[in-house]
Amino acid sequence: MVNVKVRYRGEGKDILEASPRYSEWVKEFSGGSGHVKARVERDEKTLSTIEMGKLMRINPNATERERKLYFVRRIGELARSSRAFRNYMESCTHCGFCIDKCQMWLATRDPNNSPVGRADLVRNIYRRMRRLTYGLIDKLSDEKELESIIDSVDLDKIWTYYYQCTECRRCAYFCPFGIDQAEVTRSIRQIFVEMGMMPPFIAKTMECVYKTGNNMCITRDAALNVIDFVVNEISEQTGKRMEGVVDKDKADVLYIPSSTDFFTNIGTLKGAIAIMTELGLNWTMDSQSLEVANFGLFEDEYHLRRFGDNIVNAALRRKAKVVVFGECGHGWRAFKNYVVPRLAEHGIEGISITQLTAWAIKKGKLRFSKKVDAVVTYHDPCNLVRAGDLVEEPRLILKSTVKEFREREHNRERTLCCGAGGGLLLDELMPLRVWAGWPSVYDAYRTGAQYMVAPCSIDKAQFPVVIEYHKVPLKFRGVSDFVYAALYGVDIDAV
Amino acid sequence: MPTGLIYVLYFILPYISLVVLVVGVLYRIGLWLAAGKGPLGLYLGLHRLVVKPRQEGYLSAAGHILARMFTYYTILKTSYRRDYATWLGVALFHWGIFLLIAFHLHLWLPQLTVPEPLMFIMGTTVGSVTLAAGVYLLVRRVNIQRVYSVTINYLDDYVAVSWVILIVTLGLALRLTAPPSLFNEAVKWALGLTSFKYAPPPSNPLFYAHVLAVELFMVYIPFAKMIHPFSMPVNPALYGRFEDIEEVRRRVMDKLGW
Repeated sequence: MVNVKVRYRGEGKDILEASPRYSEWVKEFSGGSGHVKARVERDEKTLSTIEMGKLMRINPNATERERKLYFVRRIGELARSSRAFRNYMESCTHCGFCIDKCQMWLATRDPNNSPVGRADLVRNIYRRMRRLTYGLIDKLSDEKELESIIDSVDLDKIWTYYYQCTECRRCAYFCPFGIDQAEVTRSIRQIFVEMGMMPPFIAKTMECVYKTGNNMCITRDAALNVIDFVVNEISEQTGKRMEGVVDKDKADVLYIPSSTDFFTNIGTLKGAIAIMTELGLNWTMDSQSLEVANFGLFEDEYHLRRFGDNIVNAALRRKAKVVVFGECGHGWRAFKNYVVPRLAEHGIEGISITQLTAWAIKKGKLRFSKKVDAVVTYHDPCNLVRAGDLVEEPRLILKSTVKEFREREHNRERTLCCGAGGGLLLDELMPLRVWAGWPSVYDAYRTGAQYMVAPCSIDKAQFPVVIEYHKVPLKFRGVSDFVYAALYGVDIDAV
Repeated sequence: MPTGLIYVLYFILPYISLVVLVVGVLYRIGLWLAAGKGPLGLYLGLHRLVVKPRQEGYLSAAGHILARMFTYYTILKTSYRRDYATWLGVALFHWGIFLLIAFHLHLWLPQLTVPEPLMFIMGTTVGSVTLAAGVYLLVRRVNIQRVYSVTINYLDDYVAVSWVILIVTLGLALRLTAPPSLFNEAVKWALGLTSFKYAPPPSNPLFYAHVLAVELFMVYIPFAKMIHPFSMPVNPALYGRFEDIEEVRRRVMDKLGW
């Protein structure tokens, strides 16, 4: 336990103590969070499907010593090939200001789970590699010296804590120097992928993308069945006959949904179909690209580009002028910062569905029959606000569609992560996840809102679990769900 | 002190210190720039790492970077509380150093007439505030490890701030005890450096200690964490820009026929 209490002004309790399940936190995390570990995928078939053989740069039968040597050598290579990595290794002044800004630290109070603690697991190796003193003489250690370093390298510890970072970039925002631990995390995970290491959930999800073009292994027929069900339900609820268009040869707008919208987030899919229909757009989805998520962002560059290119190829197949991106946080980061520039090479625009909806509202193209009678608060997904330049549009939508909108204390760039981003949506990390999401849930709960809303699929998977665990009277929905409800005066809980 | 040693420490070493400082800092910045973005000119697949929303131009990026470098505003952003104490310590410490450096430029601009009482008050006030802020930051650094049960400080982290505290302490002590003639002697010595003509420094132990501490600190700056002020302009999370969203909106409206 730590001496410092993290609490809201006017509250005597630490934010962890505010949970009715605090005694379980004490049992779980009093000794830190080092026991909560991501597993490593061993299924050869899965690894083969996702081309791990192509990415591995080390013998699969390498000894532990060889693996450590590779890891250390790659740190040195990163110093030469990655400006971001080098900058973040060298510019930290250890002021400790980042420690209580990271909600993984807030959730576990484990010093290794703070941005500086996590970075130092690697920085301690990096510093020993520089000749003389740390940086000026740019000569990395030779082979003999590397050998002397590797005994102190604890790969298991680095793996454990680098799979407790959600890559939310809250550290980069608060750090006076803008040191982005998320980028260090991405770099280290890139090395782990080259060593053949990836958590099973992520590997199997990627396998689905290779096979079907989406994370949930939804086939074209299954997607059409779900769409059929959805348009029927829309018809029953609204009296309007709509169409969920798939694989049209040529359309102005290609809509990319989240695959989870075909399962648990049906309300968001309804909202998207309704928006496209009400705006009178010539639109379509593409059955080979029913996915906004991009798990390559969490793991390695090759997969990030491959999955991003799926969207580009779909846009070219459908001859689209505009790609409208569905509700997803990390996917938006990959979309905005990789796919959109790629689309621009072909003269195609890429925007978020929240931007399309907000602009339509401003232009008077969407008229709402009845604002939803609810008090809502908005959770800014980290990758929208700290990596994706998408802040005000969802707010405009919610203010137009609900009776009362309340801001949380930690909003916009200060938003608290859901605790399952960055590839942490793993079952084996559940003891960590239910507490990692608590700071954000508590922040929302304190507004007195009935609904917590975010246009992010991982939030939609994570927050209901956290809300349920801590017994908080909150419900979680997507933004487009409220658009649908307000357009047709439908009860939001029936969406 | 032997004349030869004075000559080396206060006429030769200043030039060495300045060269090491300038070349060293440029070299470190060069190493960051030379590192490049990453494979394929992307940051592990991403075109940009900009963290601040609505940063749509290089001018706003530059403004953001300068704001971080000189106002330390992120320290005041609320996360359950505003850390006024840390911000005040950081701001007073760094601005104190900036002002003290500016005041010392008077050595090379003696034609700028400033009344001695004013120089004394300004120098000792700013020096005292800087010293107090430096001590606060050092104590905070030690305390943070206790509070968060973490060991994060390297030796270098203590050395850097302690060294600045030492320089300021020596400077204050010098200012408080120096005879009136010291300033003119110091001016002659300083002008001698810029004209490459040796003029002996004031024969004052505190002057010797203060200047030597500064010279050695200048040599130290390019090494380790003292390079931190120069890291921000080359931090990809801070520079770079997003598309102008109004421009994107216009193009999309156009393509949709709105």
